[in-house]
Amino acid sequence: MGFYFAQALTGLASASSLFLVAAGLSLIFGVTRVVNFAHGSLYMIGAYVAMDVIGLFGKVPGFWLALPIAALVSAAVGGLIEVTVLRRIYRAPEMFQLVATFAIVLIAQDVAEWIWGVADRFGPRAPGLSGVVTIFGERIPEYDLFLIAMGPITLFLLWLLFARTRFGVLVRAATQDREMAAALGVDQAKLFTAVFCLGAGLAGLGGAMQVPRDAVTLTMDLEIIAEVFVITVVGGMGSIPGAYLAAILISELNAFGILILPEITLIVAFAAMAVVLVIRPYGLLGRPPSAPETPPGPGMGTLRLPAMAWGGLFLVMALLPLVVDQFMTVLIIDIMILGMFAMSLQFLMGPGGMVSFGHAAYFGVGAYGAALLVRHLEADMGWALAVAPVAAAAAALFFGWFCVRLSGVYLAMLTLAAAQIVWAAAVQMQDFTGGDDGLTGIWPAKLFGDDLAFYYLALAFAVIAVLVLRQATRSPFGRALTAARDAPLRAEALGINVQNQQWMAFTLAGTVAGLAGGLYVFKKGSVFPDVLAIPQSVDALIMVLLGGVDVLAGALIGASTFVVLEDVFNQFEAWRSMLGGVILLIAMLAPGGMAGLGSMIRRRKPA
Amino acid sequence: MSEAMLRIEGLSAGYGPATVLHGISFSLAQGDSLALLGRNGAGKSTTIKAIMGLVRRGAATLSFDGQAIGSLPPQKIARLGVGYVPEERRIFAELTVAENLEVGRRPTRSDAPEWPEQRLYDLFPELHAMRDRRAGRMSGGEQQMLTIARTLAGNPRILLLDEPAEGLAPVVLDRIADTVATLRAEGLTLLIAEQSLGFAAEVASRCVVLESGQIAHTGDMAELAADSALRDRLLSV
Repeated sequence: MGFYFAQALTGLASASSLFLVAAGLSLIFGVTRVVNFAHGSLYMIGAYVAMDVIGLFGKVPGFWLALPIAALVSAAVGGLIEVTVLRRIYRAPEMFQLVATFAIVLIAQDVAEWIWGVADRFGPRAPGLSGVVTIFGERIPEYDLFLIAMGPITLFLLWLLFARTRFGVLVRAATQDREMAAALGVDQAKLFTAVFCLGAGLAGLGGAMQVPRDAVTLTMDLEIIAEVFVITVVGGMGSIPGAYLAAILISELNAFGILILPEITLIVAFAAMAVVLVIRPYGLLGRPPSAPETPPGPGMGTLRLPAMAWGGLFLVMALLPLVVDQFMTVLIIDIMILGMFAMSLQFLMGPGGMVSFGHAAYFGVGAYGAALLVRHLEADMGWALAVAPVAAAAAALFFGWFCVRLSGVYLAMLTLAAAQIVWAAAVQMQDFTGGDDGLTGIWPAKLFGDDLAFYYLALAFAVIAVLVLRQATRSPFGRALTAARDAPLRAEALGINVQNQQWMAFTLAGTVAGLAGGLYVFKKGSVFPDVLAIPQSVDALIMVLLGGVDVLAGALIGASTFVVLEDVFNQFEAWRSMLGGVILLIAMLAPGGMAGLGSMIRRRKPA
Repeated sequence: MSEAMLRIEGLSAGYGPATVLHGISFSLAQGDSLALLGRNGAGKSTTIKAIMGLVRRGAATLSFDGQAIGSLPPQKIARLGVGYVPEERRIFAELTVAENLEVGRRPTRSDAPEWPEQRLYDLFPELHAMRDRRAGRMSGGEQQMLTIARTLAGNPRILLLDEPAEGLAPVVLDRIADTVATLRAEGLTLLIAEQSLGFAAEVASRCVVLESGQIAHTGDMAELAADSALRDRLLSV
């Protein structure tokens, strides 16, 4: 009895920090409609700043100064991000905003490494709260009790702010109808900056509060963001009480889940999320968006490369190895594999109208599927490559069933959570997947052992992928899908089962990604959990962004640019920042991608 | 017309690639009340939204009080004293009545009548009784009152009303018309986009009739109301 009680308190204590970060994210989303990937970075900055303050002033009064100072520093950084980047992309489609905030994550990682170094840091216990109290015969850390109290206190203060101040009223008004608020003279720019600072400050405070409990590391930014996404989706985007409820629910499930399934606690959280979303698609306390989702902008056409052009492209590709050197041949193999991955995401996002933040799941399942078959069943390459897309299809069929029940950012965040589950499974099921050490020594069959042969294998697969995706877009299925994207209600009225179409599209995109993943394993000879992680998903988004979401061929252009850029930047220490900088530039200057540049210039001319 | 408070010259405007207004010009002096009339889709609402900076505008001369507003964002235009009462009310449904008024509140200005909270409640006593009610739970007529009160709370110098009579029951309509007429009598400058000729005749002295995004007629409101042939030509469907 006492043990369970203690476990419940541990869960509550963990919930507080998560709640602060999630409340900040939810708040920012509610007002600006931007899902801020960089929220995890602000949390991380808060934790590092807290460590510095403690180092500077000693434990007393350092720790107690650290909390407000960390919040202020994160708030200031958040304000800077809002003014320099986000303000320019509020009108851009979700994908650009997400990718741009992810670019900030990349830059923040470099800056944090430069300032604080790579070594993990361990904070001191909180002065005055370092003891334990005994409740029901269990020893409960005093600091946990402090954390437990911080949750409701913050909730109450936020409630006061929003219910009782002019600032709060204006924020709530802008959340409902930005344009109307502006027409009444409300300065949105200032309001948005203020909200962003507040949300960022909460993230920073959350980070500082975790210092006595957890190590401060350079990976804590992405570790928390997935959990926080789950919490905001379960609680309802934009609802702060919802975030609190969800933080408690998920933390308690983690606290008790660890007793039942110690290896796969995230799966418990996902199961909970799935149940909540099936019953309440907009979260516990969320409301369906009152305004219809942004209608597709003028760029969302059905631009297509004619069959002749594809034929020409593949002919050139087939002849290329005869003229380029081995290094280029290998580089082009990378481009083709990533290009297939990016094309599958383009299909999902373009004709399908579904933005996925977690497309790496299917690439990774394909890769792991092939590698596991080789490792555990000693299958040959042919079987492994056949199983890769099937395994990915099965995963996409499973997760897709949940995802297509939602739309817009909700769908996108759910895809990210799904990818995190698979990632966690790959890391935690060590005996099966090798954990962080991955699976190595997965080499191709002798026939494809040399680069040239592998090149033609990859090319054949790429041709198949293009044919399948192109045909799918042009078929009645593709038309129905596009109709469902542009006008879901009208499509329903015409007898199109929108969810089913989207489910099938999700599965098809996953299948092609899995095929690419299978090839990837044999190209690299190994697979690590990284192929399932958030950066891998974002890489695909960046490729689609680089090339333009409207055209299948754009994904190939994007993949080529990405691989070349990465190859060039890899020589520098600050390659993440450089990549981030390029992404930011493109997101801000050419929201149509490179394939969209032409049509954008044409559209610039006055109507 | 050197005294024009709001001057519009060669205004074109539209949504996305579609242009709805094709170069219209008119102006309002202090104390004027002008009705923008026209059939559905003629461009009445677009004109109001273009003045407010809510739709894409072409290179026009738009000035308020001698200051160019053609490239200002909505909140700056509002802060100059331009009060916008939107079509379809657009009240903040989740906020209470009092909170809706709070959103509209702006500092008082020497050149415009002041609208402290009590005066708004005097104008619409119904609202006082439901100050703490969520605006989404009010009737259409009550919401229309709130919309007007919310804009007045900003102490505007000019009121732009976009189809204030739309979808209202006759009793409520009279009530709103009386209120707008009172505001006019107090010297507030009014620009009203309206479908209902009766409503317009009650509250406006001049009129501009739009047809397919261009001005088809400019004149005296009472004359238009009296001339059935002209009315049929310009407005009948």
